[in-house]
Amino acid sequence: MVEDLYRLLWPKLELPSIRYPGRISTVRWGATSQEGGTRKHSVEIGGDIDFPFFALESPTAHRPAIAIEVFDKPVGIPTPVRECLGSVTEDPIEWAKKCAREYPIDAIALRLVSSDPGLEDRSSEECAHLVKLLLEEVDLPLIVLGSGNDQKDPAVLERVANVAEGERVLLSAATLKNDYKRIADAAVRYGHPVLSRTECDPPSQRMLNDHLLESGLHSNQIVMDPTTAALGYGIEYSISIMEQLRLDALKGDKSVQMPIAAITSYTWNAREAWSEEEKLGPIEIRGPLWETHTAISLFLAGAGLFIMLHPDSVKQFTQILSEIFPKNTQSRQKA
Amino acid sequence: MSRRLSPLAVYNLLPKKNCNDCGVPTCLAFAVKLIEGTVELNACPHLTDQQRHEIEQLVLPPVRKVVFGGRKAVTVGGERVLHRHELRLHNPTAIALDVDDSEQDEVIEARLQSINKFRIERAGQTLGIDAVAVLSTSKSPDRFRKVVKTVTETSNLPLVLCSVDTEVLEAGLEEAKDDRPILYSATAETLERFIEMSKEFKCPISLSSGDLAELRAMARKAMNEDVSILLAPITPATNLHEALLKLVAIRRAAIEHKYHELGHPIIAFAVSEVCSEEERWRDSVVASMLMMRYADILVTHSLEMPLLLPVFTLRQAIYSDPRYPASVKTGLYTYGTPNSESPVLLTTNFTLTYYLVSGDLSAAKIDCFLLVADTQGMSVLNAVVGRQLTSEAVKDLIHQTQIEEKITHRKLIIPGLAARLRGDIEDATDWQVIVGPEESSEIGSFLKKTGWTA
Repeated sequence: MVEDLYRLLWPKLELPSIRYPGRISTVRWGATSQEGGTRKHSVEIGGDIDFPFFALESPTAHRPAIAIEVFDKPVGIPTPVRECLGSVTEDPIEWAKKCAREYPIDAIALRLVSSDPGLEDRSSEECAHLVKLLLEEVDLPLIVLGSGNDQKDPAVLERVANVAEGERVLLSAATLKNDYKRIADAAVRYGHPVLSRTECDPPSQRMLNDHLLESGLHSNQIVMDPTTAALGYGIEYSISIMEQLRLDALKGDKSVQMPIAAITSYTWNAREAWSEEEKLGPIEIRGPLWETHTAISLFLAGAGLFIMLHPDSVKQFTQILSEIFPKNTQSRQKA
Repeated sequence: MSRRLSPLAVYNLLPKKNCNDCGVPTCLAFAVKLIEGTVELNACPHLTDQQRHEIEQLVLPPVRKVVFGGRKAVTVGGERVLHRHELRLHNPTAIALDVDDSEQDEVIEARLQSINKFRIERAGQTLGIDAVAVLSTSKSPDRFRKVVKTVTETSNLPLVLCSVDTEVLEAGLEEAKDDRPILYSATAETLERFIEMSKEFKCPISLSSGDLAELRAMARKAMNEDVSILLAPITPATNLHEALLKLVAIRRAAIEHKYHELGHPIIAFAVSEVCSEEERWRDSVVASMLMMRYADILVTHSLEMPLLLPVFTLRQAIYSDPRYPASVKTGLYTYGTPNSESPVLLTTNFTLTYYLVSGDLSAAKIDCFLLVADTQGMSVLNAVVGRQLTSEAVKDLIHQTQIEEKITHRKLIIPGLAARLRGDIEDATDWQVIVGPEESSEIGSFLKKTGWTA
């Protein structure tokens, strides 16, 4: 039940309530046994009626969901992350298992780095095989991220959608530059939601969402990724674009009434997160905290799904969220 | 939802002479700038008191400005919007460090030295601590007076004097008479005495109440006395959820509902009551959250770089002007002492790109020339795609900077992300183009590898 917290706190203030006509759709992924899948719970995000802490009713949305990113090949893993996780980063299954076992996460996000033609050009079939294996070994809801190669991703995600039928996996990402139609068609056919990614440009985001809606995906099967810029490297663009999209959505623009994802693992490109420079202070504290700050800022700007990299950042972010969200607003729906 | 003030409404109250005496060519343009908060009303010399008063009422930001401090004054508040993209945020949150008067003298002095010395260099700005909050934990007026004296002698930062006891505050004020400190903080019971002190010493006061209706009533009383005020709706004991709800409620009431009594800067503490060694990251995260949600002054404790750096960086980001891409001056920059054989590199004038490259060139101690192209504040990749960075632009840049007169070779190192421009640039100029690394931190090793050592 939503509580009218403002009125409980300040009965005499009589703040007029602002009610927006729009509401963010609720996106659910990960199918439990009751729904024909094998996940131990499903995850629900969205449902926002305002920005966090802005509405007279509280909470204003589902509790944000947190996924940890797992690479299918140990390339480009930031040293602090590798040091924290140890040898499991050599093997995506072990990496995912350890995270599922030890950290308070809602989902696993598998990044198929090796499918990139510039790297290993691993085939769609091999990628799909790994996804199948991961679904057998780990029972958390899954997000599958392509390598970001516009030519390759649609084929890979199509095959992944096929083998993961029934598990409701979040497929990432449809972009204006790739064959988003092929990804959307596969998602519709096999019952998966899709991540809609654009580069820091609200009109493009609106356009891509419309294309996906026309392809037959419903608003509750789309999550937006309007680009996560790291703290200190353009986070103000991400903050403002997310706030803009959210305001438009609340005011009634159906093309952008979807939950927003923040991929804070990009934070590790920020020099302050990985640099050994002594005057910046110990890296063990600075690195994870940089990702936590990025996550918390984008949470306030409206993001509801966080794909993160460092386990310490996940722990910090979770602790802050637990201080904010009452126990009964879990994003996980038990089987 | 916040109704924007129309420049025409302000223009109608201006002299309409377009005399340029204020430095702005037309009265309408002056009206726009007034609303943006980028010019002061006093700049116009042709207003009657009546006109001035009317315009002030009209353009006054829904969150009033408060100035505190003596030699080094700080302005907070003056905000007009809830989200930066709606206009911009004007006065960055002031970050104050606490000093506890129950500590030993040597500890206090050492802490003040550290506060004075604290510096962050980032994106061309040098940032430091903005203020010192002196806490009366000892509850002794004499001790407080002594510590305030030490603070004013050691540092010229603005002060926040913190005590609920007016006697203690008076003792401290005696040592900071002309320093316009903030008196933190009045309750409903002590408000009258605080108003008196504020009038006598011309200093702002903060108002404390967890009940926003009471806070509003207190503010009304202080405003009737023309006292400059800040709101202190939360204490370190307030839980985070409630704290954020209150800060947002206050700012929304001021901006969206025109509750003038709540239109004042907010002062908040990001200091945990109990803080274990492992959880000291929490204050840092809480500080960022409170800052993003409208705290205008933040009092915090730790001076550790990893804890403060993200907070200062976030502040720099959200207070930047969203209407203009952040850019630096176009042209030729030199590093070290380059000679006619030194390498020439190319980058864009997007602030973040420029400072990354610049920092890396300095750190690598390379003597070289850097050509900064006008890409209208776009990063390398965006500028290549958006055609702000083209072979013609590079040709013009080479011409304008007269770099060819400074060097004997004709070799240009371009960013890895601009690799596809290589052929075009070679065709447009008679230069040989070398594709450099994508990541600027690799420039140093790249130059060494290719034999370009200083």
